[in-house]
Amino acid sequence: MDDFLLFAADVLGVPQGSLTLESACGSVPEWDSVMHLRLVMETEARYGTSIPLEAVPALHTLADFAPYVVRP
Amino acid sequence: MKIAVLGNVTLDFFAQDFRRAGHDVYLVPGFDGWRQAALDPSSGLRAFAPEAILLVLENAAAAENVAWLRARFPGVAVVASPLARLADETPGFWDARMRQLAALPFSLRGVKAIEEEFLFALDGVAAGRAPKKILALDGDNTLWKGVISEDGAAAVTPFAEFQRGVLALRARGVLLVLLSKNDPPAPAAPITQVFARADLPLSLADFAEVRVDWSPKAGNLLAACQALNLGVESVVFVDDNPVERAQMRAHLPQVSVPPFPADLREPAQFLRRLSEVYFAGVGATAEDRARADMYRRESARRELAATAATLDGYLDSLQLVCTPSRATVDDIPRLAQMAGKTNQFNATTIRRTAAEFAALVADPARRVWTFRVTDAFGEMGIVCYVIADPSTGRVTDFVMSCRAMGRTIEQYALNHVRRALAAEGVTLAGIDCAATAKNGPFRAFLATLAFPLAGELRTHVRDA
Repeated sequence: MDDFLLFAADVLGVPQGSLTLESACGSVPEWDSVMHLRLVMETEARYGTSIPLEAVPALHTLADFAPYVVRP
Repeated sequence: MKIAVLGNVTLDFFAQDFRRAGHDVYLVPGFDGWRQAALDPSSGLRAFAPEAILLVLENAAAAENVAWLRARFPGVAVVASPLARLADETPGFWDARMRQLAALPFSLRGVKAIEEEFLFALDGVAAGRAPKKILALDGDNTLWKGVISEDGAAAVTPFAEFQRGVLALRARGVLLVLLSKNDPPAPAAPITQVFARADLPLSLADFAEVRVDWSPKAGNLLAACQALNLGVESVVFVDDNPVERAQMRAHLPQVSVPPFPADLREPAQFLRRLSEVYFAGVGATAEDRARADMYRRESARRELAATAATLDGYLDSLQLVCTPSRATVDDIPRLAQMAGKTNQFNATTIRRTAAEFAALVADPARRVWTFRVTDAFGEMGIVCYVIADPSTGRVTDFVMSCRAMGRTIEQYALNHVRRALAAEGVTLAGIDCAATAKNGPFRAFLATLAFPLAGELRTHVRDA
């Protein structure tokens, strides 16, 4: 998940090392609802996974992305 | 650049990307409120004063909306994204989930495709100042995958489909220039070897100018343009190396430098953009289509000039032959084309349209002549036209293609005009001229003349 934290910082446009697995949508100013969707899509593209529609609203913290950051 | 992104879908992704690329971006608050914002003089959109507008409309007539916006934002580049076509070209363009979640119907690839298309189109709008005629190409990692000086000419993989697309542009009349940092094309040099490969669609002979050495590309491009008698503003430069692209933009800002595609193994979209954005106007006439070959013969002519002892000897050795004719309706496309793009040897630079030429050709009170030239290297086509008004004895239009300059064709044409008017009892009284920044060559010719002409001007061109 270290790689994912760096990657998420890049997507959100925040300094590297400023995110933890507990960082959540809404707790980081750059991470608004539209950016949340971007993070979902960028995560899928980078890790080659697919996040189903019904799972998207359940993603709050970066830790919640864990099932989708495993390379298949 | 100040970009406003308008449309009837969620547009935030475009704003994020353009801002990261250093642009100033405005989105109309709320959803699909762009028409009201455009009409309201006190809107945020109006206060932002965009330089360019990207319109992303689903299920709406793009052309009408573009026209509507252009009328309200004069001078602003308005580009509607061609969603249906991009979707055809881009696998996985749509994302049904995101449409449902956020009214964002596109995948990341779709967003990227829309943005790239927009940046291309913007360059085309800027490029609209001057029609493009030259495609300048890098070699390594642009025409083939690999670096010939390191991998060896035999080891690189040609982007064969891209090269075939380039050849198709050449067949339409686009001139090719090779700008490669490599050892010059001596017989054993890698650049010579790679173009000799049977699986490489392009050959060195397909290029009107070959500039292969280690000097900066901007200087080499300038020299190539000089040799082709064309301005650098007619060039589109394609290079995989972002440093080379940035240097070209810095040194020659008139050159169009499009973004380089991610993967040239699938070049269809890139080729389509090159063709539509830059070279849409090329290929309309037979002269266009023959131009690439004519310029190759031009290189042969220059080599002859280098060996001929005197200019007179050189011009005689060209065996120039001209057929003057009164213009007919068949000539109108070529006349309109020359009127549209001839700058250097153009007396008044009146950009006459095909309709105007149709009227002039049919007008019994005017004379329109065309001059078709061949030389030892082949057919040059119609390279000059002259329009005169017998009631005043004046020439109102004198236009000659820049590739015909320096061959005493202008003297031949004027001799013909003087004699034809004299046959009607009219004395050639002069030529109307309006100075422009570019028509110095014509004015230099005019300065050698004294009206009424005392007799025949000296020319190396013979009658057919």
